Amino acid sequence: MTSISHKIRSRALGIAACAALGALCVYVFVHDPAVSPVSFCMVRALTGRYCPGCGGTRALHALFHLDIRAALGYNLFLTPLLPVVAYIVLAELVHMIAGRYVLRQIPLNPWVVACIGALFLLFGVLRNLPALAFLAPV
Amino acid sequence: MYCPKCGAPNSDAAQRCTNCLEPLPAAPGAQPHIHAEGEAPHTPEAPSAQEAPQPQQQAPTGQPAQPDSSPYQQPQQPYQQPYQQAPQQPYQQGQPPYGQPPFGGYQQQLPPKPATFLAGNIIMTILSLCSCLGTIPGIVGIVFSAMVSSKYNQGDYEGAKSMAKVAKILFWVTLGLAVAGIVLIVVMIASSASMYGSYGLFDSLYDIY
Repeated sequence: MTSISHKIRSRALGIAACAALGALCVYVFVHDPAVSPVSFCMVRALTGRYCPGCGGTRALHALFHLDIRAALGYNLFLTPLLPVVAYIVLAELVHMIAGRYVLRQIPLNPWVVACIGALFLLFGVLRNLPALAFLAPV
Repeated sequence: MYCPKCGAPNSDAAQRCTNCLEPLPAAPGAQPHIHAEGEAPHTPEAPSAQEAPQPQQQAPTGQPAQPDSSPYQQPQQPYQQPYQQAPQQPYQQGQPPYGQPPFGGYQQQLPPKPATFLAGNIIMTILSLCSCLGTIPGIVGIVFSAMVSSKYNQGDYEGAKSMAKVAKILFWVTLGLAVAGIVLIVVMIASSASMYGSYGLFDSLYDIY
């Protein structure tokens, strides 16, 4: 009994997450954040500095339109990671909905993930330095 | 070893389960290899699949958390099959034992998978995009949620539990930051509306971007 309700709950959650992600992707695909922003970055609003994720939605929009050079210009750190994260999320969502892994899982080490997160924060500091202005979003 | 009754992890030397006080069977140093060979005739697919090294499949040997060497396993159950078998024969497993995992049923001895918070982390990350506050913990949380499943599918229940703990913390951090960001946006719009009137409601937000 519990396993059946667990299965249904997992599937419902997976479908909800898929719907939210799909809506976001369609919106970012159609809407150019460089013209008018998708999100109002509070880090930028309150401190005037670039946060590590600044330019992320613009990079995603550029990636959707296969403009990799522009995507790297917006966010050098996040652009190579976005497809990897997208694959991980897709594999897990397919597992939640279908009940088995159609896409293979990428083996992940928690320490590597934590190190990438720490490097990401460091990137957020570096891109605010005048000497490393090329890291800042255009 | 894992308690046969409630699935709680116990030390190999334990006489009784620390969780439910069920007497534990003695573990006379059973080797996983011997056990695997002894179980092999029940399922012809298992030996070949174990010999073929596939990246997805985590071999039972060398996984200390995997309780496949415990002697209480009922002999009529087929030997634990690697997950790669699932696409060909999804639900050909034997009787569902205690602690049945939600899908597939390939890990027969493990307790149920801990909550991964994957959907929650995804939705909170999208919500956090409104203000950019919480997006980074959200993305890291998504990856940790994925690692819950991957650890669990390797038979590492303890690892899955600790990943689930991190994923849960990151979910709540993201939730808090996302809600705080939305409150901030509302406050800024309200203050700009009072400054500029109804004209140019969003101008201050566009200016700072």
